[in-house]
Amino acid sequence: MKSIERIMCWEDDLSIQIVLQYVFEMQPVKFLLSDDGREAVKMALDFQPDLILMDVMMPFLDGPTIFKSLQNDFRTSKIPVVFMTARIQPQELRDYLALGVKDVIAKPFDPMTLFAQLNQIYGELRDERVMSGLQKRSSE
Amino acid sequence: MKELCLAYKRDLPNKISVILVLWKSLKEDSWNPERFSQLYYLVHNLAGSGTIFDCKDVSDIAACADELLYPFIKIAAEPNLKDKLAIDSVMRNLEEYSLPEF
Repeated sequence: MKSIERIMCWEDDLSIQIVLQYVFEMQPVKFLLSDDGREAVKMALDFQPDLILMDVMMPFLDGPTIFKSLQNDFRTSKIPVVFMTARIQPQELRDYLALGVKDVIAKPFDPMTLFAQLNQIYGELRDERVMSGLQKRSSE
Repeated sequence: MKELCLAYKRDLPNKISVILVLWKSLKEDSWNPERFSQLYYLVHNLAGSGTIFDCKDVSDIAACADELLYPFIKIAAEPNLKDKLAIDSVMRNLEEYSLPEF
C-alpha cells in the first residue's frame, strides 16, 4: 500500500503542533504545519500534499471555512482532507462528512498511532480511486 | 514524547491560570465577546490536548467546560446566571491544576 509522502496540517494549538511535528519527524514524510488558513489554496498548491489534516475549531478561520476555500479551487479540490476535532458529537460528525471531508479524527488522538491511522485513510482512498478508475475504463 | 509531556505539564498551570483569569473577568466585569471567544479556544485546546500529554483529568474537565461554553460561542450570546454558575463550578475544578506543584 502506498503511504503518505507529503502531509499538510492546519492547527492553531502550539502544543498540538509540537506533537504533530514529533509524529511526522519519526516518519518518512514531508510535512508542513500552519495555523493560518488565509493562504490555504496557495500553500496547498505550493506544497502539493497527498493529504491535509485540519483542526476544526480555530479562532480566525475555522476548518470548514478553509476546507471550502480548497474545494472552491479545482487545483486543490481533489486533495483529501481529514478533520480533527475535540467536538465529535454524531450530528457534528455527519455535518463534517457531508461537507466532503474524507474522515474525522477525534482529539485527543494517540500520537503513537496517528500516522498509521492517516495512512490507512489515505490507502483506502487510493484503493477507491483505483477501483473507480477501473470501473470507468471497463464501462467505456 | 516523555519530554513533551513534561514540558506540557510545566506550562499547564500557566495555561490554566490564563483561563481562570479570563473567566473571572467575564464573571465580574462587563461581558466581553472577544474575551469570551479567547477563553473558549483556550478551553477547547486544553480539552483536545491534555490527554495526549498524559493529563487526562484536565482534558476531561476542559471538555465539560467546552460543552458548557460552546452553545454561547455558536449563538454569540452571554450565558445567563444559571449557565454562568454551571460554568463557574467546572472552572473551579480546574483551579487545583493551576498550582505550580501540580
